Amino acid sequence: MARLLQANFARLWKTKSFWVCLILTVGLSAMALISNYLESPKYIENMGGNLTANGTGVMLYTAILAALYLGTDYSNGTIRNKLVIGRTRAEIYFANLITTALSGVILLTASWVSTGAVGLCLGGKLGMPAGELALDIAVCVCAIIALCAIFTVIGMLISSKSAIVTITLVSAFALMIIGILIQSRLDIPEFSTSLLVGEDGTISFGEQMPNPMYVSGIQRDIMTAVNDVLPSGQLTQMQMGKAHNEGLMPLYSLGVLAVSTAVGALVFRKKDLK
Amino acid sequence: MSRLLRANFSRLWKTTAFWGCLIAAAALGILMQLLEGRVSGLFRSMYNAAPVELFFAAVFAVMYIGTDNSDRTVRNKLIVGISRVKIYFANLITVSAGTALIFAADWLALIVYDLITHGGVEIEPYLLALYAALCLIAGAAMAAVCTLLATLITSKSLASTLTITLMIGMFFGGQYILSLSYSLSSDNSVMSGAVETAYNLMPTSQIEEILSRILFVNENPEVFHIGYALEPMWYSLGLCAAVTVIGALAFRKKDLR
Repeated sequence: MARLLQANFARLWKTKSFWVCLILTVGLSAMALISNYLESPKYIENMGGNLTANGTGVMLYTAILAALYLGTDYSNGTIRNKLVIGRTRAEIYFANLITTALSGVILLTASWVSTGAVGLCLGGKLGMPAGELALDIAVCVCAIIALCAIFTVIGMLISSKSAIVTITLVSAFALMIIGILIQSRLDIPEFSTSLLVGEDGTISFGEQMPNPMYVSGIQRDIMTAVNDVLPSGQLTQMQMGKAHNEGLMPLYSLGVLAVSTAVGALVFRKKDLK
Repeated sequence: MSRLLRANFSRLWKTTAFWGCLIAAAALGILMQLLEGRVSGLFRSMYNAAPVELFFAAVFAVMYIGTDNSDRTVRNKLIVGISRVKIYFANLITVSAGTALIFAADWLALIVYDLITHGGVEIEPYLLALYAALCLIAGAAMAAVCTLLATLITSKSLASTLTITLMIGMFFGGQYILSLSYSLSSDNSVMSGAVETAYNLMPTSQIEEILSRILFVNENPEVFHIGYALEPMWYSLGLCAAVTVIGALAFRKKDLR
């Protein structure tokens, strides 16, 4: 397994897509911070929040990298070579999973380093306790690892490189959209206030009335649970600064990791490698 | 050309990616309405689903044309005497038709959803038809971009990656670019105009512009005339024409190994 990992990482460093994704992550994270700073200089007073706000972007780059990296194994026929020299399917699967997960963490770390460096240059402040930041970082890392596990399932069970790329990117996009939609529904306030315009043109606030669009009851509980369990939902909450269950989120991500890895590894054992 | 189109369309009906994208677009369109929570009118439902339709149409386009490259059927077509320009235009027409069918399938699903939920049609029917027609033109512009990328990039996986990333970038970047043009407008009108043009050239933005202009025409028909709603169409047609010319010319010179 160690030699397999060594080979995987040696290939990773030579993969163009890894360096392209790394450069894009670093560049776009820095640009995003600078752009927000130009819009509002107070933005850098909460660098802790800014650091953990890049998760959804990193998710996309990770999906691209994972798809291209894993797809190459099939297109070049190297999976069969690994089996021929005596590696078990489980070893191959786990080696690819570890490689993909670590590459996702590398991209995430690169975005933090880039954002942190630019924030330091602009005189930013942490804006949150170190313990809270450590927990947010743990949430992001676990979420990215869980997403990599999902991408690894797709990458290991589909034989065509182009199909891997398409399905992985569509899945990443769909997960992102679902996270955003659920969060936006949950953000709808419980009460809405009407605006009253008097005859003399003065504007005053009317009574607070229940908002018919507010999601409540079991539906709210279900949507909150789904949003907390989905790694993309967790990253969206981090991005919007709306995370409320940071203590449990890493556990949910580890659950997603465990389930997807178990399913993927079992199916891969039976897969016909043509 | 007609035989080429006939062959393309017969392959289209057998393409799994086409049916997959058609069903996925319709299903996601309905899912978005369900997540919306309230019962929207048909027009708003169509607008909400438009980015999803564009996205899946792009995925289908690049998979369809990419198969031509990966299976080397382009070379076979050249060997039997069909010119590169005809191949390019036949692919463009097929992909545009596929895009239109994906849009139509989603709209059909939304009409059924609307009939069940009784959302109703909240604008004039002729404006709804105009919106659908303008969306198809924006879809054709997007199909032209995807045809260019998929035809010129030999690797199907690379073409898929670039096209899907471009679509996601347009999806999320459109609003950012628009706000950038507003913030530049007071300082630098040339830059603001350039950024605004870049915004208008994105098919995702064209559909948003079509929506907002049709709403203006619907609510203030005495102030906004129909020509106002038609303006984004010129960007779509311009993009389609420019990209097609560039793509056809580049394909003529491309080394088909």
